[in-house]
Amino acid sequence: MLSVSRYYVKDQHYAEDVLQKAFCKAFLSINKYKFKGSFEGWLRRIVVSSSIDFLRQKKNLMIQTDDFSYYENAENPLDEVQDTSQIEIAIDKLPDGYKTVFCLYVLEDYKHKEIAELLNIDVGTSKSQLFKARKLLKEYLQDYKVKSSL
Amino acid sequence: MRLSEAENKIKKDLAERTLQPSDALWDNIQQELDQKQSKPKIAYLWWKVGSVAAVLCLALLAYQGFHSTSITMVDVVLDSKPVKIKEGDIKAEDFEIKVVHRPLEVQSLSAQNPTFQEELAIVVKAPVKTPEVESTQEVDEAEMLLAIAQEELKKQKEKKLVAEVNSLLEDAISETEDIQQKNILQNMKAEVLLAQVESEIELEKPPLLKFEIWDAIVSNFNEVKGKFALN
Repeated sequence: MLSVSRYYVKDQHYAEDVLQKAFCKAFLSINKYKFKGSFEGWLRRIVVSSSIDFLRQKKNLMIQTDDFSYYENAENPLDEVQDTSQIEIAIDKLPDGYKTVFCLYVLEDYKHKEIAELLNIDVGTSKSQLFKARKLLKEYLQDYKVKSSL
Repeated sequence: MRLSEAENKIKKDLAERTLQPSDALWDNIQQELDQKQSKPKIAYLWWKVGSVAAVLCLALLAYQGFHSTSITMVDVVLDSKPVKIKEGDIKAEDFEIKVVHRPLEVQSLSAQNPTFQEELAIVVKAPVKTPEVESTQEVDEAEMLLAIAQEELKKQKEKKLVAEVNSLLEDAISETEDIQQKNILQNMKAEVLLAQVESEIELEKPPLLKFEIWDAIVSNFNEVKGKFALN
């Protein structure tokens, strides 16, 4: 679970603080777990929401409204990426808005509608943030590849 | 937009990633849980005490509501401004009864009854209340004084009435020559006569009984006088 909170929070100490709050929240509201789905999934969702709350408190999660129509027919930029060994570093370099949407969509399997509701943005903005995150990740990973080959 | 192969690989790699939290994390979680669990107990205690207090307040209000009587203006005046002067406290010096002259329709046949042309009236002497005094208590005292004086006047008028009727009866007895009528008049007492008249008038509940009695006596004696004159 620490790695989950670490997706969203760069600093591991802060990620541990988030994990601590998430665990306390889970223990105190354990009676709300209805045994529908896995307990891990339930706990994971609490960790994710706690991480997003942390970013909101730090005012790092400022997502500008964007229109996805420009990127509607664009290909996934990461299709061209082969080497993902430096993905963790690349993800940490992403702005918090991009990173959050990317992690929610790719790593947590959230739909754009769910992401929009969770982050209080519209679906188009979620899609555009995801596209921009993928594009930036591609650039970071390719830059690393170029630098490492030199 | 579907996930790319790279993203699936990223997802798999990150899922397998394990990060070791610091040793203090579980202690911190334990400590925070202890703190958070103690707070609800205090809050619960306050809720309990508060709810008990609220229930007691409601019960008290309900009790007062059930045991209170409707307050009228008269009650308020009587309760808030109790009359200090009792009936026994009123002295005869506080008022006097004067004899004033008034023309009467009935004139006595006897010249020895000068009081027939007079009427009693109340004159309250003390304590005299000035008009600017607005205290309810003092107004009540004056009203009580007046009521007692009126009662005294009523008694005196009744005595006077009895005396007048008796003198009229004496006149009638002296004037009549019929022995049978004389016997009837001699056996007739003023109190009995007044009581009979009063009982007849009482059935109709007149507003001013004494005046009704007086009028009845006057009319009866006018008839008696007429009969005497005819005889």
